[in-house]
Amino acid sequence: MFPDPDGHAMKSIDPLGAALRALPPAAPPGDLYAQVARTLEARRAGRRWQVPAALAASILFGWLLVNQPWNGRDRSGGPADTPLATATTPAPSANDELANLQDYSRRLESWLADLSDGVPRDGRNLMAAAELEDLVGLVDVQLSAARSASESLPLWRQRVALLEDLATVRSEPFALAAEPARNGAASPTL
Amino acid sequence: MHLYWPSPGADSVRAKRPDRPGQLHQGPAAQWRKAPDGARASGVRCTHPSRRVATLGHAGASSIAVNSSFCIDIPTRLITRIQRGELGAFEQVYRLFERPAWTLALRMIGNPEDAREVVHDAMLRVFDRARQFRGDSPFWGWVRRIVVNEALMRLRRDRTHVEQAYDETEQAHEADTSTPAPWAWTEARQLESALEALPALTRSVIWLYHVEGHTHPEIAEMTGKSVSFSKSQLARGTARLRELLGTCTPESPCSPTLMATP
Repeated sequence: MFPDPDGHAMKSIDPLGAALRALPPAAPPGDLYAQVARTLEARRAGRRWQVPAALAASILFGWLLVNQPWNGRDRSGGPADTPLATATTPAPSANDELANLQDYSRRLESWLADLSDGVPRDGRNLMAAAELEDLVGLVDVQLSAARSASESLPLWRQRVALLEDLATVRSEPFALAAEPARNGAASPTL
Repeated sequence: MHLYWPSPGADSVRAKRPDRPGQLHQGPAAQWRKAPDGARASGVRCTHPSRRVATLGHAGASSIAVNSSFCIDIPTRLITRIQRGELGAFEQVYRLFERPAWTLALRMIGNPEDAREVVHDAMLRVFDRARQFRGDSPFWGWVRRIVVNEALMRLRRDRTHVEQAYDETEQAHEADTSTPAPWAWTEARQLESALEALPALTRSVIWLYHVEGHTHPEIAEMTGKSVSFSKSQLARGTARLRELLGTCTPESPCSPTLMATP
């Protein structure tokens, strides 16, 4: 039995809380804000070319989808000359899949981190994003307790799926940028 | 990047801790969590000695006193400016919360290098996420929750911190309450040294409970552990502190090397 599980009786005779609260606050390093400001400035500078780059990437992606140069199909829609690469690729092992999921997860997070302008402005999307973020946090907690690859693999799959959903929600402001009235983007929902 | 941040309004203050100094009436934190925007701060009072006492509730309304150094009332206009992405406004808020954030991170993490990263990342997150703050809880509570989450994330990343925490099933020794608690007369530096000798997660639980005023269920939620884990860390950490400081007397100060022994 613990001396006092809730700490109530202990506090009345043992004012540890009062002693801890009386400790002087620690002095932060003097250059901490400068470091934060540098990071913010660097991100802002980087963002200046992100939108044009994202547009260029979208155009390229669209062109690739239409032309599909990788499967040898001609534009008239004839049958493919080569079998699908995936047909002969052996199934990846659990460790490979885990590594791939972790890598993909990192890339998704990095993309989301760079997308600070992509905070949903629509109320429902905002709530959905917050909920997804909470769910990702919950999965992270479970991952921290996972002891083996077999335990963590389904969690990493879940994490990636949630991040993909989050990316969809977060990228909506760009997609609807041309329709602010419909999206109600004129005044951000707080 | 970590994606474990609080949903707006997730932070709360202790709702049933009659022994908390300065606490007035109790009421469920959910009362003001759900309060409409105009009354969002109803029932919350800041009582930290370094702050002016700020009664944020309506006169006569029941209120909860909060004794956290984070308890800083931020004007809505300033928050709106941060939400618009104004760096100047962010700097103002950063300056207000830098010291509480640093103190909290340092107490939880234990070393200045990691605490620096925690504060850095947490403050960036405050800026990034400001537009998600909807005002249904105090802004300071939202900021504090981000700092706590960031620090816990850091502790989880290094599994040894989790493993070093006291075993939940291991029982604490009965506290010797016949003698006065050593922290009643221990000097601040000695108490800090004893705190530093505790496992990081145990120290965090003690700090979150005693100083930031979180309940065991809240700590359990934040740490991803059980309520009994939180209680056991508090009890065992307190017992360990008592052991570490037990040999200290005003006439015979503690030896730092003695306290550094786990």
